[in-house]
Amino acid sequence: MRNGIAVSALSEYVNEVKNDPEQGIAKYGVELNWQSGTRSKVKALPMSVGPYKVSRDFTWEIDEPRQLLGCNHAPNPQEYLLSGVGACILVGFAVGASVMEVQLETLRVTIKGELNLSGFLDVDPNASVPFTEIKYEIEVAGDGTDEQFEMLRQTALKQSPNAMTIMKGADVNGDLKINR
Amino acid sequence: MAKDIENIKGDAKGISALAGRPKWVSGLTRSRNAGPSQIHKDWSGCGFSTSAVHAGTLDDQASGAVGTPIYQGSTFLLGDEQYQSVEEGFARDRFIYTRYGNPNQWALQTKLAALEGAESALVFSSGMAAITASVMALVDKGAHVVASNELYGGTYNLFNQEFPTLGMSVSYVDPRDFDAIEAAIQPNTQILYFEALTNPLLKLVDVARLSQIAKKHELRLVIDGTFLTPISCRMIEMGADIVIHSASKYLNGHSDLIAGAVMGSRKLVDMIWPRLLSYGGCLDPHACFLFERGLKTLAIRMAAHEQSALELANYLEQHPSIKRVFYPLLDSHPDNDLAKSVLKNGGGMVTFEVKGGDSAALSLLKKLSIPKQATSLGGVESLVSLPFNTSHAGFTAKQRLEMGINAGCVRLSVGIEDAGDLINDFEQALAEI
Repeated sequence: MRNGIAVSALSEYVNEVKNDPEQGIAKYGVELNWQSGTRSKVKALPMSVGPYKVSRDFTWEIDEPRQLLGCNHAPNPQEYLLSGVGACILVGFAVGASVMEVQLETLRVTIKGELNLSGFLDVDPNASVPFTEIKYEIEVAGDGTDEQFEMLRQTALKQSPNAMTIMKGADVNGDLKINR
Repeated sequence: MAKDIENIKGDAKGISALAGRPKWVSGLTRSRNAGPSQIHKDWSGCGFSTSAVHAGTLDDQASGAVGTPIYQGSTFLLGDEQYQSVEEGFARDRFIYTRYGNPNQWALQTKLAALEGAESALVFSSGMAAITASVMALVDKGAHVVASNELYGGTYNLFNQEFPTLGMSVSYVDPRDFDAIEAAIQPNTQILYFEALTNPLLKLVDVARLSQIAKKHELRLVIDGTFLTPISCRMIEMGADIVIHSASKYLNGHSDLIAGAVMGSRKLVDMIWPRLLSYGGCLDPHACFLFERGLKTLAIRMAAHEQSALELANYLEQHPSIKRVFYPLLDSHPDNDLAKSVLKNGGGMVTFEVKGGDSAALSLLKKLSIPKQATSLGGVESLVSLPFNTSHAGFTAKQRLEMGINAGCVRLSVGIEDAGDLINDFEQALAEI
């Protein structure tokens, strides 16, 4: 299969969603449990694609570097955020290349951001808490033309749920449950 | 790539998704079709026997020979259309290699799908190959399954011995206890797995009710329909997502073949197909030929099974040496109301308890001259066995009692022999124990 993507199955799914939009609803969740200090353990919760559940038996850890009072045992929340955006762009690029019948040889996405921790620490009211800019670079080799790769870059960004969440924002609503 | 679809070696309806030169996924044009098949003819308006005889069967175009020739080849000529199907991921629609697909498999699968009212089917080299590929296609890492506590031993072994190795788990519940089934569902549960008619007590499972539970909890419902056939009830129409058969039983019906079958939507059967490839349980073309020939007479065989089984069950029920008889169409069967509403054919399985326990049952088997002492079921010849020393030998007598399998329990697969001859045989055998 070109680039390891079954475009026939993708096409069948796309056309299924056109006829039955419920099939296109994906629900996700993760659960984080504090380990100690800045370290947490994350468990993926069962997700659903359309009206059917999918078991997600995956766990991973998150930590901070020692400079930020962690033990440097795992990537930190910002690195997971960046990797989530980068992976999403990468998926879109690979899928789009397959649809455009472009054979990829290599594909690398580098994504960087800079925080001013004065914002998080609340020591400077003018400092931003969020990232103010995220920069990405897509490095690709394959049999596509320059125009095709540029189109893939634009489409992968435009159709990326994670990149668009960062760019357009999403409501974050929450509850507090106190166990005594 | 433009293709001459008239000369497609495979399913002419299975075409590229990229015909419109799309720039993004929304421009992909391929939708799912029923099949794959070399003949897309709708037999849904016809009776079971007409479908069984004609659906999928491919007369030989070169010679005019009637019936599907045996394509006893392992591999097929490759051309652009095959390479394209591999590149784009629709290799199931082309002939490439017999483990992937073969005209004999397709003819049979088309016939099975027509009989079940399903979009697609797959045949396997055994019922267990069908079960393993199907279950593994529908579960993911860490998955949980809710299954019947009266499973076929091979399925139980898959769940009990293989699943823990793969980090998956199963809860077993009474197939009649819907509250217990719902209570057993966990956040990581992905499928409900039940048998349409249980072995050996012939509990009839309410597929429609199980389907409601599955939908409520976003699960898939898998039904092993081996003890019943589409002639009795079409379980896909009742809400099952996948129906699995050990085709060695009624579907082939002649006790001369080991095979399995899966029927369902094209979407789900396409998910099972890669597991068939990976696990390797494909059905040889010659076995497909035998299976197709057997399947053509399914409806008339099932009518004969039912007629003899019902007459024999009625006879046994009034015999003083018999404690109890289980047959879904008997008024005394606990699921008789459900059977009356969903079954168009009661099948050929009869279970009964002989007074005098297992030794009396053993003695009966030795005195019978028509039914053969053998495991398996669904053949044209009557087969008889005792759960205590065959299917349920791994359980203690106490465990069997807890399962409802009392001493003296006999499982009888009634063949298509004349009911009068079977009754006469039981009459003489029961007189001697």
